[in-house]
Parts: sequence; C-alpha cells; structure tokens
Amino acid sequence: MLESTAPLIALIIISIVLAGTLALRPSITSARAGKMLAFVALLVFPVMAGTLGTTEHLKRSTSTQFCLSCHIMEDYGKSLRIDDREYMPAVHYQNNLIPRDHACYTCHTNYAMFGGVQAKIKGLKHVYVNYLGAAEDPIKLYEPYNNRECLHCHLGSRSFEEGATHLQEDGHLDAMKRNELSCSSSGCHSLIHNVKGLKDLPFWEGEVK
Amino acid sequence: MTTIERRLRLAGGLITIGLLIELVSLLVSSPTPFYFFLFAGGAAVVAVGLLIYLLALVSRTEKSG
Repeated sequence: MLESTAPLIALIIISIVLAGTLALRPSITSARAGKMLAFVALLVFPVMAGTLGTTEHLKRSTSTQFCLSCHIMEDYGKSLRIDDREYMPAVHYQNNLIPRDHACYTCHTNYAMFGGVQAKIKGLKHVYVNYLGAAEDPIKLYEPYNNRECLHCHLGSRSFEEGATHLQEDGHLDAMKRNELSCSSSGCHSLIHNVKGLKDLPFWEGEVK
Repeated sequence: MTTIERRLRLAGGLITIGLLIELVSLLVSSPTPFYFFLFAGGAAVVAVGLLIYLLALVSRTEKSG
C-alpha cells in the first residue's frame, strides 16, 4: 500500500517543507521569487496534496481491509470463508464473482445515483456508533437489501434470466427485477453472513490470490 | 513584520499542520484516520490556511510593528 502512495507522500513532504519555510520566513515574499514561491507553496501544492490525499482515502475506504479493520466486522470477514456454496457472500468472494479487495463495498454500496456519497455518510454514522454509541448485535442493514445491488451484475446473465427456478412461475423474474420479490429474503438465497452460526461451520483455508 | 507577512506565516503554519495530519492519516488504512483527515486535516486546517493566504493576496498591505 505504501508503495502505491509513495509519490503522494513525497508530494506532501515537499509541500510541508515549502509551507514550513514560508511560515518560518515570510519575509522572503518581499522579493519577486519569494512571491512565486508563496503561490506554489501555499496554494498549488496544498491543493494538489489535499485533492490527491482525499482521492486516496476515498479509494481505500472501499477496500475489504478497510471495512474489516473495525472489530465488530471481524466475523463478517470470517463469513467470507465459509466452505458452503449456499452462503451467498462466501461463494461470491471465494470464486472471484466480486473483487476480493472490494468485497464489502461491491455488495453493500447503493447502485442508485449518489450511492457512493450515501455510503460515506453512513460510514460517518458507523464511526460515531463504534466510538460513542452501541452497535446492534448482530448489526442490521438500514433497510431491506435491494435486488438492484444483485442485478447490477446478474441482470442479463444467463443464470439469472434463464435459471429454472427463476422461470418456474410466471411473473417471478419481473417481480425480482422490480424488487417486489427479494432474492435474499424470499427463501431462495437466504444464507448470508450468519455470524451467529459461524462456530459450527466449515471454513475454506485456501490462499487468497 | 507587515500584516501580509503575519498572514503568510499563519497560512503557512496552518497548511503545514494540516499536511502533517494528512501524512500521518495516510500511514493507516482504517476509518478513524480517514475521518480525522477529512475533518481535522485536509478539509479544515489546510482549507483555512488557503483562505488566509488568499485573503493576504487580496487585502491591502499595511506596514506595522
């Protein structure tokens, strides 16, 4: 991780040195060269460092490692390794059906407009609850899981559009597409993280590549 | 020291502090440094420093001290 941010860290260090120099010796701005240095040190470099730093932080906030860094999420991370194909998060994670580095974000972000912004606002609440409140045990989604998040990838795929169970009854497929029949809570794909039952389940010990 | 120099010193100091916070926050990938950076580093201290610098540019220079 540090290798990928090395240029950004170098930029921040250079910005600190330049801004610090101006803070210690503001009189150098009396010369023309000093004024130009001040413009670069107090405007151009800090804006660049701030923008790139924010971008890097936002990128990191979508990583699986970031989500699982909170203690309360540990069991949810473990559930990704349940050795049972019936468990939806586990089968997606272990078979690379979602990017492993962004597993939580891929399924739990809202694919509607401003979904990413909403995720960050909810993240603020999570940090608040983590330090100053009491999280529910087990934690719950804010609202029922929307099929839209599943269909972001599965819509149009053969397994979804032509799946025998999906076509078993007239209107099932359309009801799923309209989010009137839940993929996860209608009894079909209902084994999700199941953190309360983890101790009784087998785990995949394979290496994550 | 002139007024503009005092403002430049303040701007430089705030930007340095803000960037130091940003640097430290980038060393750890977890929610706390992320929000600490957003609200105590980049978005707050650096922004205030930038505003003070811009204010120093547009305000009338006066001799003092």
